[in-house]
Amino acid sequence: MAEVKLQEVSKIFNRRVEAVKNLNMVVEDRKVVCLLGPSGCGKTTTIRIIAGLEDPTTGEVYLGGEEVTSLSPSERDVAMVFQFPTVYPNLSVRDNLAFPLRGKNLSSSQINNRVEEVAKNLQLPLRVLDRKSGTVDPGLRQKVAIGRAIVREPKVFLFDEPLTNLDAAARTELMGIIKHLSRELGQTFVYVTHDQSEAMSLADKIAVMKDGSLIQYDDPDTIYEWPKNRFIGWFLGNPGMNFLNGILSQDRNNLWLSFGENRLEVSKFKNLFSSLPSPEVILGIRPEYLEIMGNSSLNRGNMVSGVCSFTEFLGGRMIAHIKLGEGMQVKVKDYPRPDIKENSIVTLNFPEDKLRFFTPGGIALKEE
Amino acid sequence: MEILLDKVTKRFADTIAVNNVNLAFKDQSFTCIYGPPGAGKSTLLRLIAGLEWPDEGRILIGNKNVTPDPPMVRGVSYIAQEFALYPHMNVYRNIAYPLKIMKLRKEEIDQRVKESTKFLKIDHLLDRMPVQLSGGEQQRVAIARGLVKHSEVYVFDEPLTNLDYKIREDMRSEFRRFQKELGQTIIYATGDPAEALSLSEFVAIMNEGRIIDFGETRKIYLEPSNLFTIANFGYPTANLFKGNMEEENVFRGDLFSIKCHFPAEAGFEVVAAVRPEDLRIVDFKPSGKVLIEGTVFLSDIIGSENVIYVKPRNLDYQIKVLANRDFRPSIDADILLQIDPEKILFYSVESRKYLGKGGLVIG
Repeated sequence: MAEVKLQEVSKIFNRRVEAVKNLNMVVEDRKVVCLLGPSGCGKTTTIRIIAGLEDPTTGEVYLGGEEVTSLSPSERDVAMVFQFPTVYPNLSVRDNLAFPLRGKNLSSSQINNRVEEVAKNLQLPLRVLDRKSGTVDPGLRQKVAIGRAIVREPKVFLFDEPLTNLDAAARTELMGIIKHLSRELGQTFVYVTHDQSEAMSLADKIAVMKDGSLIQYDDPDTIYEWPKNRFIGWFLGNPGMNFLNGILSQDRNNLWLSFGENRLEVSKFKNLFSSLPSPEVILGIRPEYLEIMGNSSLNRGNMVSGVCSFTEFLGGRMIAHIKLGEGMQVKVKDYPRPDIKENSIVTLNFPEDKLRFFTPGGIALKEE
Repeated sequence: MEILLDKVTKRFADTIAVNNVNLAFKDQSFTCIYGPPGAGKSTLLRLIAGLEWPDEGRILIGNKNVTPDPPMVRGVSYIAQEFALYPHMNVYRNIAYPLKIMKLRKEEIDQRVKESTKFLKIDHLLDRMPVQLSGGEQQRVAIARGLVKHSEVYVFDEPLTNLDYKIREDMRSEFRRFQKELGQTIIYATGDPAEALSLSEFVAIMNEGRIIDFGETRKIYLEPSNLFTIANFGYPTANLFKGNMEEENVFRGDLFSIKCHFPAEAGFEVVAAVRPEDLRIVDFKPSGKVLIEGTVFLSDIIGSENVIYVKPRNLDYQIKVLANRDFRPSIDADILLQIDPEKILFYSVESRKYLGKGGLVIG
């Protein structure tokens, strides 16, 4: 059992800066949890507290049910991989991988077997094993750092933005390897990242942090589809959710949400709005859920039209920036469509089941 | 300003960083230089800015030969990946500094600082010191310091590489807006294919000091002239299927065979390339299409899309398929892939050159 539990953990630096605020969180045994957030949100401090590299100002840390708050990093059964790979540059890759095994009463053939097994797991070609670690490229060096964590066979693996300083190709390769390892090793993983696509690709659960607090802790699909606030909706997805400031109005039969010249029928969501003190509501919708209906300017039901300001070609997809009114812009993600270009008039369908609503303060409205 | 590089070569000790490069950047165009680390992108930009001198060749800016000129007189603003702000000056003074050197009037300086910081959404930070800023904010200050100079040419060296993903995404749109509104000539180096695709009108693909592809970004993406480009320039990258060219223009591959539309010599190793978005998952077998049976190996949500990795029967391939986020086949599920043969691009393994596109499926 290597469950990680943080209980009322806070960290204050220099008596002033509150890096982590009253964090309560359980990482279940053998699960992969990503701590996700922008720089300065407290995610790195949190993982360093789990590793024992920082002491919490208040609160307790438990590993596998045991309190470890006062234990040093080496006394905790954890291994950490950092943003900048920690390897001995003058030792060969093989010796780097073998290093954590020395002094463990293993024969040299046992060590060798273990090293080669780990190298295979990391898809490290055997010919690389005898090169000096300082001379291999950064992606390979990070692989060696991950290998050094694996050979120790810890109960918990901690990763602090391991891919941030790598180029795109190396990032993709290492992401695949980390994902493979998380399944193969069947251990608890805590992984810190600012990149939402890494988090969604890897995690069983994502913990979104902002300003030192945990603001949502759910499985990736729930976080993506039902963000608890506007920030999370924006932070996940590439690009993030669109937001439109709207005003509710009721006519004889229907409830409408108007933004600028446009309006959508939202009668179905009546109950959702009943507790609101004012008719102001923010509508959220993800760019890939908006549907481009063609170049005619119809305005019925859940259709709204606007003018394309510009498009971004992304290869397999495109993003069209559509202006719906003064100061009102949405992004639409779709297959590349050469017919949509600057100044095209575009009619968009807002599918009812994909609409999300937020208070003017940005808190998601959800039925009780 | 139009910029012309004419047979430009730069050596450092025994390595050739930039190897006989010929490039013409149109006036008011946005060009990305895309390449892996060590391709020579930075050196190329520094040569344009005048921070390095070429060993051979000429550099022309607006038809004027600037090859021997120092940076100050070229009218090029260079914004590096590793930027440095003056730590003892607040944001306002950091940005105003180059204008003071240029001896502009106070009102002019003030107006330009406000304009550029508003544009980059840092106008609320003018009184802050650099240490009080996040990395993304610091980078924007560095960019603003370049913008206020109102140069006609801007050279950016991976300006977003060290920033958080979300800031990068926002900044991409800013760059587009910036260039559209101000109309300068921009040359922008990046190692990220997604960034190059979304930003640029034109792209130059660079590898080992050479420019191996250059043209309109969309065209280069859809029909790269080189195996390196198709293998690297894309996100996710293209699927490459190995095979041989046989008599009568027949490509014979591990997974399918195509009678190609274009003439090709027989007896060569050939790669058939298919973009992940050009594969369809189907549940029936239409005629005239390439069909591949396999099982789902991995389903990888990358933000708003899902990349599905399919392992064909008995073969050691992993085929990438770009799908919508809500399409979620289960692992090990049987799956049928369809490729429109007209979308397949063929490359010679030996010369790495583009041979042609499309053909008819044969048994």
